Amino acid sequence: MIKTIELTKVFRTEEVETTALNKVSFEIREGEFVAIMGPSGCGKSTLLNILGLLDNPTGGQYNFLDKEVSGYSEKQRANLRKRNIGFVFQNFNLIDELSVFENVELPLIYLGYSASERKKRVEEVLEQMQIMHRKNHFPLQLSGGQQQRVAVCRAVVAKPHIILADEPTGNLDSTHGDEVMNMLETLNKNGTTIIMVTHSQRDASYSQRIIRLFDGQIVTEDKTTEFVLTAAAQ
Amino acid sequence: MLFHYIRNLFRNFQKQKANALINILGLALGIGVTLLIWVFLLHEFSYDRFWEHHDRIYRIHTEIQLGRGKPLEVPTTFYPISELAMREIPEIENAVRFTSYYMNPAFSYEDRSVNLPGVIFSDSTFFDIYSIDFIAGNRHDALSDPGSLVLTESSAQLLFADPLDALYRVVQIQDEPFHVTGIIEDLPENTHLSFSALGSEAFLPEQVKVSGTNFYTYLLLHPDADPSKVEEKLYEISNRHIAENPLYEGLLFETELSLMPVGDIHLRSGLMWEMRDNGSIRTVYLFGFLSVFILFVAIINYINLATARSTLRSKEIGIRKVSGAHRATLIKQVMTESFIVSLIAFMLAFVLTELLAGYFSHNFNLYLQSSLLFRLEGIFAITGFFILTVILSGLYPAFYLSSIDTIKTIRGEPHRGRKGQIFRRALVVFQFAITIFVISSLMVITRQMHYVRDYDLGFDKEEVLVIRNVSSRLAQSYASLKAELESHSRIKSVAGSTYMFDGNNRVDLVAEDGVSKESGVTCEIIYVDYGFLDLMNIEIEEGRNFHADSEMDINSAFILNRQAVDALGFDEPLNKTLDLFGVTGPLIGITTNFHFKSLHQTVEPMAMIYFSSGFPHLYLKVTPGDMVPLHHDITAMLHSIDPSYVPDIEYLEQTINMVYQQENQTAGLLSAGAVLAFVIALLGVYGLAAFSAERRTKETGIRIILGAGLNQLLWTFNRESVLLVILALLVAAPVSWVVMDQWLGSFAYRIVINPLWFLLSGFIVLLMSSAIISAQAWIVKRSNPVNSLRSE
Repeated sequence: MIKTIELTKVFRTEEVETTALNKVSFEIREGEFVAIMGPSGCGKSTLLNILGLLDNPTGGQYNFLDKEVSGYSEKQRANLRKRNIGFVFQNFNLIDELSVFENVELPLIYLGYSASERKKRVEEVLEQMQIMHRKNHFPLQLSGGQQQRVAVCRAVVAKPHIILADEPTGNLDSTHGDEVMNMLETLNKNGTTIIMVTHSQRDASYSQRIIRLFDGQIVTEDKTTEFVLTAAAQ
Repeated sequence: MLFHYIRNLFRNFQKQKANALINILGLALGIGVTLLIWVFLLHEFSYDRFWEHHDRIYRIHTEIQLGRGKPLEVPTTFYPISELAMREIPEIENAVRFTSYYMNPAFSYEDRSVNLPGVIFSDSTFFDIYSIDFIAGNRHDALSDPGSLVLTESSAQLLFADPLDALYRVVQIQDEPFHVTGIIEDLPENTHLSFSALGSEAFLPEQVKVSGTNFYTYLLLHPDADPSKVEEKLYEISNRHIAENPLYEGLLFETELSLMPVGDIHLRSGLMWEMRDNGSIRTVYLFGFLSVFILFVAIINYINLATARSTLRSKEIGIRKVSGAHRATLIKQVMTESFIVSLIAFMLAFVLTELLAGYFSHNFNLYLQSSLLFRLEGIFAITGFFILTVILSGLYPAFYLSSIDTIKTIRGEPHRGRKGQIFRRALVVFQFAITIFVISSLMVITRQMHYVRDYDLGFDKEEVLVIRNVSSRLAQSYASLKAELESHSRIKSVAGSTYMFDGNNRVDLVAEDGVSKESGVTCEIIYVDYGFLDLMNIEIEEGRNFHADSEMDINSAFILNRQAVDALGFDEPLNKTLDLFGVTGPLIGITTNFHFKSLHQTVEPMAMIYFSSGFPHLYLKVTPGDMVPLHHDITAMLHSIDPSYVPDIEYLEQTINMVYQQENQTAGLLSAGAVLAFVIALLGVYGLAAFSAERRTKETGIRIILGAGLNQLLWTFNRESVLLVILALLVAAPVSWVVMDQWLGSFAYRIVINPLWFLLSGFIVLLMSSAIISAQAWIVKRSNPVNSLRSE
């Protein structure tokens, strides 16, 4: 589903050249739940932005759904993104001026769904995520956990193939964090591919595989279960 | 999608009420004032463009070079030109000529009598050229009989309860019977024509027709005719007419005839002897520019506030992008917002225009009908204007906002928009520059108007009352009327004259008798009673005044002004015998160069001749005091001779001030424009300052914690605006200087522009903007710095 070959991203300013990703190659198959881990500044978010088609690499190849997309224009990327990828962010990124319903509805508007279809789909997903009773509230009236649940609703409402989650529990307490992780796990079990950037070992334990980055390079690719067993044995 | 955009916009309004209010109100004010100016401009441009054949009607103007004087251009021509032109120039389809004959005559029917100004006597072709509707009568033969008369509806109404009753009645004008053959609709406001009744040209005595350029003459050209070719042929015709007319023998003058399209007369003629006051193309341009400036100031506010808010909206834009919005979709969204804001602003602006139109019509004597905007040309203009506003106000914010870096915003990094800041500063400089331009221009205009008002004209304008346009009956009874008026305790002296500050004088060649007319000089000729110069306190530099009732002096002796004597080049002028078209007599006195016309013009040569009666205007030197009883007494005296005369009495000072009415109107409108431009710009400053304070909350908190006092904070906040005002001053001052120097160029007597006025304008702008910015800084200073540090 996703394959990168020697993916490179270099940021240049007038004085400094920083290599954020250095020849990163890996593959993610459909239905996988993959966690990307590593210390701050190791290139996790840069990688997620490229995987999410928010940014282009400066070198290497990126195959998305069997298409080489590294040279795509912003418009082409936007088209591909809105049909196939859902995003969940650490800081929720809900629009404060829009209600819960309207926030979740947003991707469907850009996909050109009719109002009745949008209503049906949004209510379905709100129901599923048990936040229907808050549909007319605004983000600032919700708890962090509820906000993230709304964000997950928004990420899945268009039934994307992949969900990219950037530290989805970073701003939540452990109870709400677990709640969100359980939601992601359920989505994965239902067939959605999930790629998640995280600092948390606990969150990473929900994934099937961990890609560890350091200074823009992959240092290990573990099976999570093995890692958890190893950790437990130690 | 559209509904989604609208809903989103109103949510944003709710969240940022002050910002929304500034945005909409600023734009509405700008658009409202612009629309108001457009109402004025549309009216000015509508003059005489409603006639059915307006694009083919031309008026003949005559330029005459008499002797050594300056050439004289008048909007009239010789009587025979129209006939000769019709006969000899195939490009002409039709022609009409007319002139006025009676001076403020009395119209009477049975026991009713009124004075009506403006009776013209015209060819029967008048209604073939001017498409005026008849309420009663037949347009084709209404003027065919010498005794026929066509009344306007309101003139007819003054004599008859039902204007239609006037048809076929016989009314008297100065005791001459006229047969009413038609009632026409009143002339619209937007025409250069002015009359209350039309008689037939055949009624006029021959002496009016044989010489002089007394006839307004209009040609209707064939659709494909070339006016310049017609002008060439007219030149030949007029000079042949002069050469063949025995009355002009020995006068040696040249003429040149030109054509002016009827639609241009109101704004571009500006000649003496017009039927009514003209507008000015300069004023139209000035207000055209002003409207564009004010609109720019308002649009700049919108752009500035919209882009400044980008830091607050960057998150929303980022999320939309991540959710699948293309850049084009976002541009569409911001443009839709601009469309809706503009729509609301336009609706408010219409209300504002209606209110302002009422105020200005009433206070500045301007014709402002906002209904003009809803005529076809107005609707086209407004639609274009609306689209322009939407594009100008929306385009930059749309591209700017849609270009925000998605990755940074979704990661919660605030958008700083440095590139946008430079652009915003440039726009603020432009806004300040316009404000400085308008304020400094207003200063120059106000100073010039004060200068004009206080200028020593060379005669007393205080305590002089003028009875204007007396009836023929009063003019004939001048001696007895004068004696009766002078018997009043508050009237010191009375003198008649043909002269009126805002009126037209006869212009003719004055030359030394027996010497070639080539050495003569074109002079304005006025006829005065012997006491006129004393009453007006006009100084006689050399020689003497007219002697009362001296047979030697009446209609014979000349008094010239210094300018005329200099132009004639006399070394020893007194007692030289002068000639004015058959009148010969000695030069007995020379006056100073008093300003008998507005200060727009230099003092021209003038000749005064002593007449004993028949004056259209009476000058009264009165003692100061309550005007009402005096007016009442004077009216009673006038009515004892002519009960039908409608008194037209005013102070000379008022007449003089009226000459500058257009400038005063300009100053009035400009001051309103200046105030509004300033208010709109300040609204923008307020919006930006409030936004800047909000954005700099954290910075301010850190500064306060590190020990910054209020003064230091004020300087931090104001530093930028000081620089921007200085830049704006550098841009505005030279432009304002050049434009105002041009405007002052229309005055022969004018002030010198003081550079300090520009500095003062800049200082006013700086003071007001600093006050607003400082208020914001003070609010931030009062807040708890700990809270400030939690922001972002």
